[in-house]
Amino acid sequence: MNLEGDGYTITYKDNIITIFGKLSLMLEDYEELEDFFEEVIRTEPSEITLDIRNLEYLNSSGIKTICVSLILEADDIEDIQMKILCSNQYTWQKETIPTFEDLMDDMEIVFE
Amino acid sequence: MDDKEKEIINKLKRRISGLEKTLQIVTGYSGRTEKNLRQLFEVISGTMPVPMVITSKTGGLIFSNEKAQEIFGFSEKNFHKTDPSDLYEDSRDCDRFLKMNEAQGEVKGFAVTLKKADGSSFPASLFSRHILFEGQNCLLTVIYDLSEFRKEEEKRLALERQLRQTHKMEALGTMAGGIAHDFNNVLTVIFGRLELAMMMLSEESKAKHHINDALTAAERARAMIMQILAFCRKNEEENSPFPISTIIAEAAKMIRSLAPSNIETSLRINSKSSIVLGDPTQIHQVLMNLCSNSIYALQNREGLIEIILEQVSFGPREKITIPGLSPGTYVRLTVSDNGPGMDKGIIERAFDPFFTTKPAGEGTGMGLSVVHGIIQSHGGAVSVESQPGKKTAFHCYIPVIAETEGMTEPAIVQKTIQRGSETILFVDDESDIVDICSQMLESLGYHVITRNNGPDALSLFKENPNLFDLVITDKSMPVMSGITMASEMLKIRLDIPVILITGDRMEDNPLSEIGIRDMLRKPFSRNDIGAAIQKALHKKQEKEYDKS
Repeated sequence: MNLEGDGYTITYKDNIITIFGKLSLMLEDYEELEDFFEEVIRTEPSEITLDIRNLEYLNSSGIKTICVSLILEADDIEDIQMKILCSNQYTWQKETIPTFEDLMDDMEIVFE
Repeated sequence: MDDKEKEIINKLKRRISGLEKTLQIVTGYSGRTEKNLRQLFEVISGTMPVPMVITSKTGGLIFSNEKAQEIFGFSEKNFHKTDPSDLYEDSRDCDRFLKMNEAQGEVKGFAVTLKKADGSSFPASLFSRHILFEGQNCLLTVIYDLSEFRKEEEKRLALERQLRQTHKMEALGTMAGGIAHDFNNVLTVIFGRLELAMMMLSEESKAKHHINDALTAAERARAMIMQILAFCRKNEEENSPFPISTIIAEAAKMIRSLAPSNIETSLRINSKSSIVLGDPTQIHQVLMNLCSNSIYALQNREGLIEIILEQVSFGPREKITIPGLSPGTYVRLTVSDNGPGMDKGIIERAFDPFFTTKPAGEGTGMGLSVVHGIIQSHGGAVSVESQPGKKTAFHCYIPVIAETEGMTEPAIVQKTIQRGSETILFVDDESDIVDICSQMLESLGYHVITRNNGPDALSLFKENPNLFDLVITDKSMPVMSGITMASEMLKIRLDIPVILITGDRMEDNPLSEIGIRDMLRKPFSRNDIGAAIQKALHKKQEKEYDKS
């Protein structure tokens, strides 16, 4: 499953969601991404890995979409394992992603 | 409440809590991003070397960067209190600018004159766009200060004007040189005829007085032609090295004696040892012409004429703003006066030939043209500084070729005219000149044979080369020039003396190398040609004596 837009690419394969590029859409333009996450959740995977090591920038609307449409929805799936792969080279990731732990118990956040 | 309902309620509670946490995450993130963007804006606006302001839609200042405060000369606090229309020299421009922004959404290159805190103004070009700043619809305006650009543009235009003027004067010089050449031929005939007529008259003749007046007028015409030739650099220059300070001192002495009592003159020579290459008489004339203008400018008022001679140098990397000058060492002769000054229009035309501000009959308008011509022919340049009501200064730059402690004064040769009986071959394509000159020469006792062109004269010479003691020939003749003809004759008889006569300037050909003894410029008097013949024949005799 793929989603491509202006400056970004999102793929889903083997329970891994990978996001490349920069995401700075207006709030209403994140609908496609919300639908994409909905599709992923509908498969009720036992584990999901969100790989954002190559996501250079994400705006506040994007943060909200990941938090609400992916993490909170995944939290409703029983015994799901959530893992986020991050990059140390992006300050916004270092500042923001650790706060995602508040949204789900046992979430694993890995920085490389 | 059954278990399912409880489960739904718990799920909703969890979701609400999750959304609350999401809200915290997103607002925290937005706050940090906002702060970073503000910092970025402040760094950019504070670092950029261009004035930038953010105004409300009505023009009120909300933000200004450091460069804008610096250029307008306001502190940040006072700047923001200023009425926007007060920043425009013409307050209506403020309204025009805002309306244009409103209508077009952006403005590019709005030409305007802006006003600083101290009241001075500067030309600028405004570039503006609508932005949202601190929640308001605003205008971001970048101000491009055009002061330096305008200055450079003015300098460039001034140089262009000077260059055009130089080209114009060169063209005029070429034209004037041609006219002068023809006039010299005409004057030769006039002089010759008048002198011959004078010789035919008895001392008591009433006509002698009229002829004398005609000769005086012809002399004036000759002097004018000399001035025209000096202007167009087609006269014969002495081109010898001389200490310019001596000539300037002499000329200044003469000016002091000629200037009326209301005018004070001062001479300052800071360059006593500078040697220049050129004609001392012409440099004398330069100073006389400049001072004569100053004297005229100071008429009916107390005034001061300052003459300064100093040495100046321009390095190879120096920007020289005086057209025609290249890097090197020059003497700068400055003549300044505290007269009424000149406006831009007069300065632009000051060196034009025949341009004068004097009333009709009081000036020929050739003085400064001659100065320009002479200085240019000495490899230099002239510049002028003046403003109405302020002093006027002319600066003449002449290249320095050496420096020395003392130079010998040029020797004054006393001319002695003698009669002769030798046979002369006279060649000129102008039959009037041939007629007059043969009569003049015959009146001096010579036997004259004439021809109107080079080939005829050469053929005659070939037939009997030993018949002639001297050849006098015009330089410019159709079919065969005087120089070519003389060269051919010298191949036949190496010792034949040749005098070249010309109506214009002799080029720098090494005449003596090809055997030509002397050169005489038209118009010449009977005495002039008599002296030239004696000189040429005398040289021949010296050679013959050396051989024996």
